[in-house]
Amino acid sequence: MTRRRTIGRLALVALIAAIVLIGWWASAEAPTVAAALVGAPGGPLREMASAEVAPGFGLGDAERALARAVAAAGLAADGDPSAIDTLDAAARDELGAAERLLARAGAPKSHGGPGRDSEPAWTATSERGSGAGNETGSAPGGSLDASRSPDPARALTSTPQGPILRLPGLWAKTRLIPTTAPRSWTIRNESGAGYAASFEAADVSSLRVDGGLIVPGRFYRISAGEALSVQADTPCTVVIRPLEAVPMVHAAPIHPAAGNG
Amino acid sequence: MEPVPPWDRLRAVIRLAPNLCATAAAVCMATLVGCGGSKDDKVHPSAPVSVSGVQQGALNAANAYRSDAQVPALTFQSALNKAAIDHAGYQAIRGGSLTHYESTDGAPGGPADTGNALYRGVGLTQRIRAANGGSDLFLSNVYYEGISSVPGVPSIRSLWNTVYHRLPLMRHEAQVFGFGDAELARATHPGSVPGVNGYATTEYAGDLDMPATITLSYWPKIGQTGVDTGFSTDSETPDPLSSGNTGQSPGTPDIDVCGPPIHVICPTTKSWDTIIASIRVQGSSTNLSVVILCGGANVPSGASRDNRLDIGEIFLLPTPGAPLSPTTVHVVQVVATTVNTAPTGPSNAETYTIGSSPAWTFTTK
Repeated sequence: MTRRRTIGRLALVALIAAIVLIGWWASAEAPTVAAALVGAPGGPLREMASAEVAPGFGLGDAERALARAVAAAGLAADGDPSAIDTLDAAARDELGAAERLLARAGAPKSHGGPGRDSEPAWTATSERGSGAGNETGSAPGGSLDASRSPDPARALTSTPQGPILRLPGLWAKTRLIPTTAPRSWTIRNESGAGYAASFEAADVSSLRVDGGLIVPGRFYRISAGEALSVQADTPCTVVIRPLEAVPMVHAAPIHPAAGNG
Repeated sequence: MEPVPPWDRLRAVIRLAPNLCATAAAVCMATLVGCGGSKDDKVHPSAPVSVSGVQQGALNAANAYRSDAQVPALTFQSALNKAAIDHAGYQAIRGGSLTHYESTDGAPGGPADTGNALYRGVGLTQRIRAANGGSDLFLSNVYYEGISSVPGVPSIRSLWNTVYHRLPLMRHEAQVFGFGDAELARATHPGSVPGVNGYATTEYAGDLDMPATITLSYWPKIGQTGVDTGFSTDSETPDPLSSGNTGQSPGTPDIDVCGPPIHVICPTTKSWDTIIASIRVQGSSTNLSVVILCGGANVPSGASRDNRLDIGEIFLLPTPGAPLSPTTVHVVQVVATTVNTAPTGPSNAETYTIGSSPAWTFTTK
């Protein structure tokens, strides 16, 4: 009886060993991937896919040309005359009107002084230095210390209509990509402090901010409790900065006179 | 089609019966134990695989990292889960190396591998559309995919502790997420997927019509603990520290291991002019060596421009050639300044400083 039990146990051990060996043999040359590899040829994989956007939202060619002319004339006024050199003929025809509009809009203002848009002590600071008092109004730069940046989870709410600023001191950028025409967004400032936004686009023809024309790189004020509306049929990037990080700010975009036909 | 040798067919049959050998061995072992063991020595069956549990664990792991980096959380998207599971299963059936493309030669323009039971489309966009009933998820989409040989929830850590596969995990434009691996594929497609390891597939998408707002983000967070000591750069494809990496200028040396990748995203639209980065062991005055990779058009002194990184994005790869010391507090500081794009007048350069006060410290495992 004992001998039979011993033989049975030995047989079971042999069976287990055989099964394990078969498993090892089956997997030994299996084309499995090595452990702890990440990625594959052609990666990292990032692809874009968009529905086609029908351009335009009622803007005429002349209105689009004027937008390009205002942008170029403004850039030239800010120190980049090459912006004029690259203008197309239609926009060049609008240069005179653009320069008159820019002159009428006046110079930017320093945000300074106390008030509801004044700089909270703990927010990011700008480097004013030689830039203080300059009237160009182009993006002034500044410095952001991470320790003074508010928690974005509390300072910002992203919505399909655009970002809502809820706390002072946030530095942000967002890219607006239209998928319908017209496409509108709103940057709402519910932070209780002042903000400013500048806009960059490869084609500014259709870009309208609060219905007006902009000069790329210039900052436009978003006072506490107010909002900027943005409309475009091509992508644009919006740079959002606390007002105190922007020594020069324009009160509003440029609004051409509307004709009554 | 090449003939398949009979022994390979047998191997394939055995591989298609996952756990068969282990199960049989376990049954025999139970019998053996039962011959002379006590009743307390019972072998318990393994717990059933919880598909949603693994996926939820992966999402939680990804969002824990994003929370530390101050980036909004990802949410599940059912078509991405489906696409991820199917692509994991596709790779498991195909065997061999990880692949992004379901073509017979693994190339983006290669012939469709329709012989694979889980073929869904050669490219990522095609596969996601197939999982979503034939259409894109949103009107305007950005899609990402990251794959790892590590199965299950730990795959997220394997993807995070890299350079290029960190990108969708940490970038703001990734908003929704899907996860699958070979185990999930086997559970979803019984009998189709062999019992091979890994092929964890992460899919990401962003709705470009829903503007993703980028704010200052960096990892590790100040005071982070449990940071991996090292990153095997050779384990990532493409290799971020390799002379064969054609996306970098100047090229980086061939290095197999370094410390954990430190990642910074700044909300700027300008390229970097200077990046000053230091990493040292707390209490030491000696800075450790570091490789700096950055996005943008410019090449700051001491850094390499990497065309896979976005403008405003920086990676620090500490101690090229060796991991960091374990259970050690390290101190990091980054001061990065953009170029001045103002043609005249005052500079419009921007400076971002991380780690001036309080100190930016992290502790390795």
